[in-house]
Amino acid sequence: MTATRIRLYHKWFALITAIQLLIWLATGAYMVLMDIEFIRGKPLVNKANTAMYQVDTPAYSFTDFIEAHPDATDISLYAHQGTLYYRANIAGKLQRFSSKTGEVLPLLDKQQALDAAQRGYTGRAKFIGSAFIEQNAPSEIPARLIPVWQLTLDDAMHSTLYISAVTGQVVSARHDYWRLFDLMWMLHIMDYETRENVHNPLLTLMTSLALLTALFGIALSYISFRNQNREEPV
Amino acid sequence: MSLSTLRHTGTAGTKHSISLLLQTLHKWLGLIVGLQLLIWVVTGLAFNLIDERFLDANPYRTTDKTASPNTALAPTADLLQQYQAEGIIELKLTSVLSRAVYALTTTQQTRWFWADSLKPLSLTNTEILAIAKQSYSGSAELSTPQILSRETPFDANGPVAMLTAADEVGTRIYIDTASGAVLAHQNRQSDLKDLLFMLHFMDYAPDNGIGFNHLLVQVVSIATLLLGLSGIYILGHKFHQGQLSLPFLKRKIPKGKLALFTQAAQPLAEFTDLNGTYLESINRGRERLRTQCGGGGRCGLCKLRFVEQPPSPNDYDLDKLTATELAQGIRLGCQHEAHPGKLELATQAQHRDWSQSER
Ligand code: FES
Repeated sequence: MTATRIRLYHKWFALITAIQLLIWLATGAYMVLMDIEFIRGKPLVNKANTAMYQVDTPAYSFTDFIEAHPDATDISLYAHQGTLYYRANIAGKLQRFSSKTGEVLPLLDKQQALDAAQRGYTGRAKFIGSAFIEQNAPSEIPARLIPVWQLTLDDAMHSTLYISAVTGQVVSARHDYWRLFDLMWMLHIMDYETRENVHNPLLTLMTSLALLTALFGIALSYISFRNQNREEPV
Repeated sequence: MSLSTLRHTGTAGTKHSISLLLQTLHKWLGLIVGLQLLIWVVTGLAFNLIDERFLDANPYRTTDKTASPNTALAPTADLLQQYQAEGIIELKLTSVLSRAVYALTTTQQTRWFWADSLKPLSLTNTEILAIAKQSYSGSAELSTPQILSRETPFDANGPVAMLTAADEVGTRIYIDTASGAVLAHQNRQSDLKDLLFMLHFMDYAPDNGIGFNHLLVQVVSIATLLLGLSGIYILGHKFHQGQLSLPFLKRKIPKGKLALFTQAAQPLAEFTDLNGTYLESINRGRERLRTQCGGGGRCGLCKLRFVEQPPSPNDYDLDKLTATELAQGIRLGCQHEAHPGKLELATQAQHRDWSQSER
């Protein structure tokens, strides 16, 4: 194949794939440049803030709990606002129980959720919005987390903390950089619907065309650099 | 002509030097990061095309809902008292091999205790083997556990034990000896997946897990982004110059023949299939005019003299040709759309290459 052909093909395939190639490069650069821990909202919350340094022995023991709920799974005793509570999955449903009496406790109200969020939150912004979400989880959190309290913060990146309305634990922290990351990921894998199917045919097509662009480009750079030192004939 | 050309050179120098500069940048970036771009595209295509089943780490992983413990539970008071100074976060009830276990998380660390005796959890090789077996649905024998001394990608709290199975995918099972948790199954299929990720993320030191937040991939991705941006600019520039018009959309295909002469004005060849640039039309089928850049306007090897009415020079002509050459009607053959007319070769070397190409 002549150099002229190679340059021609590189140019035409580049024209077809230009936009998508640029999207891949830009979204890829964003994803590698942003610290993934930051994206996941780790720095917004400190679990250790809930810790208790003075613990009263729970009057209601694990043994009591198991006797009362033999089919419970994921049982744990956890610290929340200076008190120990049990949490467990019973018939697929997460519930909170008193560690004194073992009784089932109601969902957190708005003030309790705000208090819990305030305690776990590491930043200084104020909470400016709250919504109780019992069904139709927003797309930025997994549906299995509901019911939750969605608490929005007054900061530049629109941070949002999700507090389990059952346990009062922070279950998710989202902000604009996460939302952008999610969008970038969608553009990167070209699945505009579920944002998770990397096996879609559109991606196959564009990647194949991009492969040709890259191959002709590499051939072209080989051609451009060979004989680089040869004297230009006059 | 010569005067106006010269003036043209002066003004075009600043405006068009950007595209020439970007083309040089594009070429060098292509040399430096082109291979990685190719790796990204190829591994991306591999992820896209290879069925998940062939990259699956867990074909023999049981979906373990371990039986609820049937052992007696010791009161938790002592544990909580002992560690409350560290700040108690959570005390979980789990089980290892049907024996109840407390996992106590403080602000410092997580510790595991047998829930019947409150003794720190420790596992014999036989128990580790049993845990691995419980997680494995294949029929192959498992090796004895081997404690790894190297760094592992797992989020383990104690030494990691590895067991291997002699099945057709070469399953390896990793167990955290501090908690008795099965950290992962791996096999030759998942190794391929890891290899693809390694290449895609440029993480060539993946001992602590494959990551994409490291300096190498950050620098290369920015360089490649510049490769893309400069490429798009060049495309836009070419479009602007009319070098990207689709052949079948052309307003009129020039009819007639292109007659090429030697420097001594002797007839050399005639071309009737005029499509694309002069260079493309002349080189159709065979490289009669040698080029180094393949029509990029950068090598200057394709210069031709227009006997009558040379087209107005574009920025590549202005960059590569001297004022005298421009005044003589010499232009770069790769930069102008072919039209019927009379052209002459412009260098001695072209005659040599021409006769060589005829052989
Ligand atoms: S082919 Fe290289 S400048 Fe025209």
